[in-house]
Amino acid sequence: MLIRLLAATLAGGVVFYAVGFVLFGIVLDPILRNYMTQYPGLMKAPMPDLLFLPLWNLVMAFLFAFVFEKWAGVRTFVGGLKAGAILMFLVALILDLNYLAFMNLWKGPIGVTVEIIASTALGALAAGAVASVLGMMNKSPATSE
Amino acid sequence: MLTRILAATLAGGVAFFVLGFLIYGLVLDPMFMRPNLTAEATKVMMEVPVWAPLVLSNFVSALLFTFIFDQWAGIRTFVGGLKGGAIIMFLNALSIDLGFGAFMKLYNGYTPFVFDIIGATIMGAIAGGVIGAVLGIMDKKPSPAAE
Repeated sequence: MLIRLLAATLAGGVVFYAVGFVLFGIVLDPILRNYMTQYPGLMKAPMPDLLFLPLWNLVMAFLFAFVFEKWAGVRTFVGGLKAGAILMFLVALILDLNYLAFMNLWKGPIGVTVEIIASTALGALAAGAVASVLGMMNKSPATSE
Repeated sequence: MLTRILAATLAGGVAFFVLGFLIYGLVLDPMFMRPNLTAEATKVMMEVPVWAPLVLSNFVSALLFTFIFDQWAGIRTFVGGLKGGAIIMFLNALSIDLGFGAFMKLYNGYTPFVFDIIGATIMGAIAGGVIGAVLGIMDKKPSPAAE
């Protein structure tokens, strides 16, 4: 089980990193900046911390892998896509509600909404990869989709 | 099932709110977080939190736990919820703090991150216990998950 969890975590982490770079780093970054108050020196620039960023992606992937393997029995790409979308939507919503509660960061609801939708899509894809790997490395049937 | 999910979410949301006030509002924020904020982060943080998103965040956190426990994990006891809540919250807090560490100069040093993860894990464990207990009270079927 440990090797399966690690392999699924690695696959999910790579998808989080690669798709996250394209989606947030290239496509959405210039758009989301318009909806955020800019504080000089607050963000790590010109690059994010390249130790913490992949670790963050791996921890999120491990959370999915653990929930799917231990509890949900999700072991197909489509099953992971659905379950990941639900989990990531709730996780992103919690995070952005905390931003709204504690930080003067977002200028209005548009940026938050775009960020939650994009995070949900990213999480769904990464979770699909996690579940696919769990399925490939496990011969017992999935218990839920 | 819907009534059970709503009741557990409500109980968990209240637990998250009260525990968050006790752990973060009274202890961690004044002792470890605010004193270690960078000059840049001091400008972005609010003096007083905005209540509506704060309360909503607690209930969405409770809904996340309830959904996982009820739909997938079959957790219906306080101890089961304690363990499940600790695992989910530890991983979630770790990922959030790694995200902050990746993109923002939020704190001077790593001590606030460590205390945040410990505090969040304790809060998630107790709130998870409450959620597991409420799910158990409202469901007479035996718990399928290993506790």
